[in-house]
Amino acid sequence: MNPVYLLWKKRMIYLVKTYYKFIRFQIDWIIMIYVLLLVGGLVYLNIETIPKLSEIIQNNILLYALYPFLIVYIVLSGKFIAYLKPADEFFLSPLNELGKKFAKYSFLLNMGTHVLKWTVLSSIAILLYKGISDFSVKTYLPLYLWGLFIKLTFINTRFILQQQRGKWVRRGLKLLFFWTAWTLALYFTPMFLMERISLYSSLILIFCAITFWLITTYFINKIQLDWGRWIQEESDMRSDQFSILLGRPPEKKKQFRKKTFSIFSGVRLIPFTKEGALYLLYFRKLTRNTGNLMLLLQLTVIALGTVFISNNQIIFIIVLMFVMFIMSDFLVSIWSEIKDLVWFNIYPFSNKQKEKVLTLGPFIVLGTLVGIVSLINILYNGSIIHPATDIIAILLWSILCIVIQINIFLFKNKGNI
Amino acid sequence: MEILKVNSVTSGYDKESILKEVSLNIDKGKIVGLIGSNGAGKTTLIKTILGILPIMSGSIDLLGKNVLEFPENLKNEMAYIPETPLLYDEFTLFEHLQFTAMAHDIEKSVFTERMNELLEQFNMKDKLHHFPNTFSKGMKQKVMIMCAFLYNPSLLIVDEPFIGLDPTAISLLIKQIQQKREKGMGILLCTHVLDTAEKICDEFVLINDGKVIISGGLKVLQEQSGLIEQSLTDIFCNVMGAKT
Repeated sequence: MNPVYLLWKKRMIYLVKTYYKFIRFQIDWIIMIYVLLLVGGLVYLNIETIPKLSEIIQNNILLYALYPFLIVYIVLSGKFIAYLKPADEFFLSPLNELGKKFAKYSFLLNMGTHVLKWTVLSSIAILLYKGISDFSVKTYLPLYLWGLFIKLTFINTRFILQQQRGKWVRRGLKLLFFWTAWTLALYFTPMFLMERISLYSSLILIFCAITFWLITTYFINKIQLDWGRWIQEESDMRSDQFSILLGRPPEKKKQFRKKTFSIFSGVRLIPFTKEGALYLLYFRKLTRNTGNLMLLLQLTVIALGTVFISNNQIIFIIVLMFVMFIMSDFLVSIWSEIKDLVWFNIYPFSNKQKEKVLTLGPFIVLGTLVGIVSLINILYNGSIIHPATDIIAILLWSILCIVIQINIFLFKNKGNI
Repeated sequence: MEILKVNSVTSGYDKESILKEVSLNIDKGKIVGLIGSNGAGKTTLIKTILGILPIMSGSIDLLGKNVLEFPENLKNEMAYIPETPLLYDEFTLFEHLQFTAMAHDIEKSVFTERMNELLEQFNMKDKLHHFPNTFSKGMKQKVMIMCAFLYNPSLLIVDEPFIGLDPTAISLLIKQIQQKREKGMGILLCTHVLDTAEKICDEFVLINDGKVIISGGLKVLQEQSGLIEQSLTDIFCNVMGAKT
């Protein structure tokens, strides 16, 4: 079999597995099912209000004007990725022969994914805009075909410009191209969307789009590729994506700790003992690195939002209990990152100490956050039974959630803490 | 007094055994050089002693106690400097040291004193609140060394300690290792820098293909290999050449 194809296939499998691992760390599938059930349930219960979304869009001038922008954004988003790695510069040498072969496979895959993406997104966008009852293939098909070929042309052109060697030439051409593309797309998209274009004109525009696409595809095969820069950019982009998946913006990667009042860092509260060492590791993992503190804050905001949006205490309890369950899963899952580290196994920590920190660490965070949320709810909406009872019940539910999650964690890890 | 006794240990990854009935002893105040080609099983042996890899057969005694029976207590008696620095991205240099001190039950005042001493010696004082992502490999290795020297274990395991270190740091590390030996610590030094090993080690264990080929002091090695008054490098090349 073609060795380049074999390498490409292995790379794809590796990347899919890696992305899956990163996503799996962030999203627990049990929680995904819960979310889908919750959202699905809400959609099912309010199914009659969904077609009204098109009415909302059409009755709101701002939304009505902005909607074509959204479609244009979908048309013009996306780029060509070859899934290259720094080692390819050596192993795919000569790059203009073997590297190009490798890139061609990626190019075909990219085309497939972009077609799929456009098909799904444009269908949803049109369905929302027109409503289920007013949806017609006659409106959708010209927009779909025109958008598809413009999208592919845009991706090709973007790639051709990216390969230009002069930095300022590249920037200038890119700027010019982006403005032209946006202007043209913004001019024609509303015409398709609002059916202000005749069938004959639609056919001409689609034909033009196909021609542009074919021309740019021809040029892609002819241009001289700047391999070094291309490989570097792809590698950097991938590491940035992984950073984002882990919830930390890459550009904000800290070089040193800024001095703050030590009372805020919480370090003074941590005892200078073996257990303290584990707390230190747990909280630093949570706040600084892969912990994704932002997710916790977002979930807290969701719970807080329910306090202010609805004064129905039943809805508040359902949302809060659900949010707490997700939070506890996330807080316990951090332990799986810690437990595989070499020092964690070499340093003299007993199982009892580990168990204690695994229970108390997540509880401190969860209890504090939901305690604040329920306190605000008591102040804003009043207590459900009694302020003290409410708080105790919430804390008991926190403990229960954490105990459930720890048991799931132990089951997944065959009891290995 | 025997600090470490590895008794006919077979170990490896999953079900594949890399080490085959390896035995070695480290006495109090002795530096034992663990020497072998790449892939000989040196790191596997170290990982087995540290308890990272399971013992398939045989036993390992630290201070006369089986490491499998008293793991927590005995872990306090071992320090490890790995070949590749293993640092936490979310910890600053200070927090690495703090974590180590807390894990080994060192008093806060003692920790502060030792930390300042080590920072001064390894010239890392201005990096105290920096994260390791800004450190060079040598600096990362220094952090590992500082963590290991923060407490006083009975056994120090050092895997390729000189890679990436600047000459001053190498000389300081050698001095520190010799001081630890004088204080009675047993040291297992795994290295490819044979000239240095010859100067500082009391005994050597030559390992190849997961088995101990030859062991003992330099004189014993010279006699066993028949290379009288030859250097450790010559003995190593000769023995390994004969084996391959």
